[in-house]
Amino acid sequence: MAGPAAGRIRHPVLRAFVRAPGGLIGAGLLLGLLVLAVVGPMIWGHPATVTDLNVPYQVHSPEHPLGTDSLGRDVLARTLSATRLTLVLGLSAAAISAVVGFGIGTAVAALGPRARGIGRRAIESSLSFPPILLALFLVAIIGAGARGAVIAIGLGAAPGFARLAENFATSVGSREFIASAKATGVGRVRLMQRYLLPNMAEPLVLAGLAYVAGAIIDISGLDFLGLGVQPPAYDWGTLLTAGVQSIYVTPFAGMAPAFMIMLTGTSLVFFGEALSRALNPRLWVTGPRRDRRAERARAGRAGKAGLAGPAAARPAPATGAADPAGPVVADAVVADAVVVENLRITLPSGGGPRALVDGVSFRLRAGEVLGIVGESGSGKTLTSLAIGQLLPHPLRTTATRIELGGIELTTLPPGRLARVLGTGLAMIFQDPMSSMNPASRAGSQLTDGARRHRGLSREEARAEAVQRLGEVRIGDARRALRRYPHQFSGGMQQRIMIAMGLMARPRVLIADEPTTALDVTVQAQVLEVLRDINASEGTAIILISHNLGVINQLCDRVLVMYAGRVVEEGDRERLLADPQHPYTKALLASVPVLPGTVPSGTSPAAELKTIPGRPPRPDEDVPGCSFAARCPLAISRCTAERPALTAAAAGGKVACFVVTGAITGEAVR
Amino acid sequence: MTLTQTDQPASGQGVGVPRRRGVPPVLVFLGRRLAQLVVVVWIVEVATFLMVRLIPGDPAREVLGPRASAAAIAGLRRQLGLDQPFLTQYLRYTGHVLGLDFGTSFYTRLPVSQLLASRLGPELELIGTAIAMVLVFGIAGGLLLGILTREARHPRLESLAVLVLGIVGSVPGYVAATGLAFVFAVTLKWFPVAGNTPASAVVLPALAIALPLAALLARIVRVETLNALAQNYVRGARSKRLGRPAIYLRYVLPNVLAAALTLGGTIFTQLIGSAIIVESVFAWNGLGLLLTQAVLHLDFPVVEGAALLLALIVVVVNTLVDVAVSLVDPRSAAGRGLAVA
Repeated sequence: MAGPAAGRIRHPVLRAFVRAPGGLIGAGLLLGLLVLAVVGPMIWGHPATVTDLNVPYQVHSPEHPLGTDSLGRDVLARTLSATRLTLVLGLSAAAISAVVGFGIGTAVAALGPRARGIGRRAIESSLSFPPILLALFLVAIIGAGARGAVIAIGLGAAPGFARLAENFATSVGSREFIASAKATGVGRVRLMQRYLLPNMAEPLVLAGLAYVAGAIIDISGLDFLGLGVQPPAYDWGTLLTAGVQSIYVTPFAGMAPAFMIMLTGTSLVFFGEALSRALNPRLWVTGPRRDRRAERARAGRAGKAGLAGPAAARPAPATGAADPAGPVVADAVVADAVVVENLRITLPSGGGPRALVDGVSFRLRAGEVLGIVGESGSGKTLTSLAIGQLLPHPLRTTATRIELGGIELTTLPPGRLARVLGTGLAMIFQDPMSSMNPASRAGSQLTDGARRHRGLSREEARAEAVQRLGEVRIGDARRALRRYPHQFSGGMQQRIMIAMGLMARPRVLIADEPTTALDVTVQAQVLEVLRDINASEGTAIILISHNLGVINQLCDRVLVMYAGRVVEEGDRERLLADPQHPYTKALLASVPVLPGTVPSGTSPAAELKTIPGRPPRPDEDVPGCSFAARCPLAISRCTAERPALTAAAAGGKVACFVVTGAITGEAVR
Repeated sequence: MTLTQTDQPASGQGVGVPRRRGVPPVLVFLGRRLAQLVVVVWIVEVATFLMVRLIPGDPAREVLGPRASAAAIAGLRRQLGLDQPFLTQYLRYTGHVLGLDFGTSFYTRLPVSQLLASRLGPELELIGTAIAMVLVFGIAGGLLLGILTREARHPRLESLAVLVLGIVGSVPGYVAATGLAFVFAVTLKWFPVAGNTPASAVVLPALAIALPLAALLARIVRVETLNALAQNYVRGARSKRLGRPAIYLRYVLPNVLAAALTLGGTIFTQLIGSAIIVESVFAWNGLGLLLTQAVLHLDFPVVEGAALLLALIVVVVNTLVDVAVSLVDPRSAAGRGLAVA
């Protein structure tokens, strides 16, 4: 809303406030209301009390634009001049709730563990009662009127603040510095004063502010019931009540105060949201749901602006990696399990589409296990998602070919696509603990795909699921079918996910970091299962991992990706023993222990090498080799021209001028 | 390394519910919940007992006014039991409450229990209708919006929806009630302006209560839907090509419901609070109207009875929400019990 202006503001807090949706609107409205509260009674205070019994219940007239009430008093003047009393009452009630609530909350948090539990439960219970019920009860004791209403509403809302304070104090209280303060013998009360209160001031003020509108609404509710502000005093609530009672004759009389109440509420909501966003640096860059992609897109725009000149519109990758004739050698009799040719994944953004994966081509032969390695952000996962046609919005895929078992996927109508992918491809993702639907039993999740795509009955599907669970070594499979995901360990969940993938009898299994979230012994089990499946069913596997140990245990062939491109490809043994591309070398040198293989040129005892620098961001335009900036061997050509993936002397393919060009192996240290 | 080690369930069943031999965890959960309910109701009962005793000055003087005779005041004090020792007062009060005897209304001279009985039905009718509306509008609307705005699609619709839901959600029930009454009762004459009859009379008050809270629930449901759609298990389901209806109904909805009910559980008790006020707009003869009029008239026996009964409804609704959460969420304490294979 305030986009262009926001760029010029220097102070980060202010800028965040202005950028938040509605922040300026909320602040403006609020300021107007405050001014009205000050001047309202001065200007309209007198006209508001002038009775004119000749014109009661007027709907509209030049003197009274919003009509008159039962005594002929001007509704507009009364509404405007009531601003002060209404805001004062609302602020007082909110202050009472905040102070009382935070007092109770911090007191409970300061108790011993047992008493704290009871206190917490008491707060929870009182919280479950509607504040108006508590307030009515308190009004019955204190008596009707403005004072009673403010106290009743204030106390009625206190439990909410108490819970907030208790939660906050407990979480702050458990932090390290509190522990060390305790260790040095600082008493509880001092602890509260010195450490807790400063930390809690911000949420206290924010929550209190947010509740002002709620308090006004709640007080107006009491007014409406005749229990709040008593005549001759009047606030919006009493005006609204009068308007509601005369709704047949003067329909707008009630609308004016209602509008003011809503306006106050809305402006406070906007203001509070913007304020909390401004005070919380984690929310500055992106909104709560805007994910990294949006952030990247925005960063890209900023980076673009700083970039000088005509490089902005990069031509299509004409060089090297995009060469479709290069990597494809049609030697197989059996159709390849997966063929990907010239895959490009782009993110649409202000400065034109940005390539996240560019010119990736590879084949997965039937029954083969292909490893894809690379740092996070290298495009491994995006590539696998593109094969499964699962890329999230708004990413776009273009490719010369994406084939699964000889069937071209890119041109397939949606119905057939679902069938081909549903039966031909299974995918296993990282983090098994979140891969299963927590709300339904393992059995129904294992069988739903097979029942849909293979037309199995419930019983047939369950019988097969039992068998599959046995294959992935889940004991007592029948019982496991009836369990919920949270009743399994992470390793079991991952093996169940594999079993689930096998239920489709897929030609291809894509396992994306299948062992990353698991501990080492469980990793071994999962890899074992994958190996078995590959051996017994001939299922081709694409194993995506940044862990070269895992790759080494399982793969026939390896693909090394860097910054969205394939930089090296080759048989596993050769590639791990004699890496060609400088990036692959660096990657291997950064692995602590690689069972069975010692990268050439490094001894296992040598110190671990980290790769200096970082990969280019997708929005950075790198005309040459993406690795050139970090490469110890880079020559001038590397930064000017992009190397193509070409056959290397040592076997396999590599995209590096230094390796494949005039200067060969011996130059590499 | 043996497989049997990891073949044990991760968390063990019923971490929250201690396993007792022979007692199904579901019963343990329900029993515990029931005990909690009894404790809360008892605290409310103590509060209603204290109410009259907490009134500053002499409650009898307060009720009868400054010009009442000393004899009349003494009579009322006796009627309220204020002349007895404190503990005796409490035991007598509790005895009466347990016998559903709340005394006689100062204002109507009718037995309070009779008043409560006649208002309970309409109250439940109104609250029940409003809850149904909140669930239908809130869940369906939020789910639809979540699906439409997933992965930052339709950004304009998203801002519009957030704005409209924010505004509707901040409208107090009685303002919504006034607006609805004006449009649908006064202008269009589709529904009666006030009263409990005919049967369609419940629509407007229930709608007035439900709309703001449905907007609130829809916001929660929308965010939870976005949340669920971004989960691995939804991606997994999509990779299995199950088709949209199956994914939304079996993978998204149950998880959204569990989260929304946990987060939005207090919506249903807020709804009871809103009903107390909205009943006045439509002259709906429920417990809320009875309570507000009793507070206005300083009719303490009725205040005690109506507050106690409303509090009981609140506690029961809360318990039902908890049970509902446990039914849709196998990870909750009771769900763990229900899930035992």
